[in-house]
Amino acid sequence: MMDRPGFSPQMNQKELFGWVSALGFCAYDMLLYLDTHPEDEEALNYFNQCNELYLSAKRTYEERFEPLTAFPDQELTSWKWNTAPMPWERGM
Amino acid sequence: MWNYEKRLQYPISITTPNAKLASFIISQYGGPDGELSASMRYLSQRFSAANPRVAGLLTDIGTEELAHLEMIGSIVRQLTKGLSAKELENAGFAPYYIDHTAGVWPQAAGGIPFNACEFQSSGDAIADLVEDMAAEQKARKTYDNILRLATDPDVADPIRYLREREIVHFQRFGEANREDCSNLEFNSQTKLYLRRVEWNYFSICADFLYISGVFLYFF
Repeated sequence: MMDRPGFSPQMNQKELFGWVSALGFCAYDMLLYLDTHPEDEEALNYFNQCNELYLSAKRTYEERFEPLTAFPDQELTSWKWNTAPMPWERGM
Repeated sequence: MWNYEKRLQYPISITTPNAKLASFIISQYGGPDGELSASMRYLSQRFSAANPRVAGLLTDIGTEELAHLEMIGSIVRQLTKGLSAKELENAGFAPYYIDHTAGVWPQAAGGIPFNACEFQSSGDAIADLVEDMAAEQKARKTYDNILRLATDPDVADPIRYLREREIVHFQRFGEANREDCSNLEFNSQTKLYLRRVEWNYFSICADFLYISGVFLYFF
């Protein structure tokens, strides 16, 4: 998905945020599907694929722009968790 | 426990405030078929769901409903932000404004405050799951009604997304209900299909007496 044309780690904040949203949605929808189809291996593979891409898009976004989680993967150099705009004020 | 992810599940960016629209859409925040009702329904019902697959699904859908509650709150906030008291009054929002200014408070479109009587947690997985399926359709119906009134694409777009999610949840609850129904067993005493009851000391003693009785009868 992230090797599709359109994605690059250098994209701007809004574009990268769009990727985080889209990939997060894919992973969450697959989560609900797997809850009722735990034996579906094809679905499990797709979930793994979505989840890996989602985690890497989120990590890239957090490194370059602002935290999305209070407990990020990387070491923090400044505290932006509650200083950046809230989601309903972000406008994206 | 929960971890907060600081983003809306689907982006909301409304350019034109419209208090009239907010006064309808707030029903999906605290109304009878709204997202607060949905999240509290599933997150309460899961405690008595004996099947871990069902309890897990209720947790995951209940969690997504909290994200939908956040989306509806964001829509209401953006639709009313920056409006003057006069503008709110002209939009028919004066009764709400008097108590809540431009704050977001869970109520139905008709002004009735959120009430836990809008959902049930019955302690019976089948009764709960069938209610959940109905709840998803009732929420879908409210989104259909909102879409008949909301012409602003900034508003209609996320509402369409939320409507679509109700349909997916309905599907998943139907599958969970089928799974749970497959655990029914025929009860020879009542001549009914009942949910399998977990074994306990009493049921083991009862089974022992029953088997001893059969044994004594034949031999």
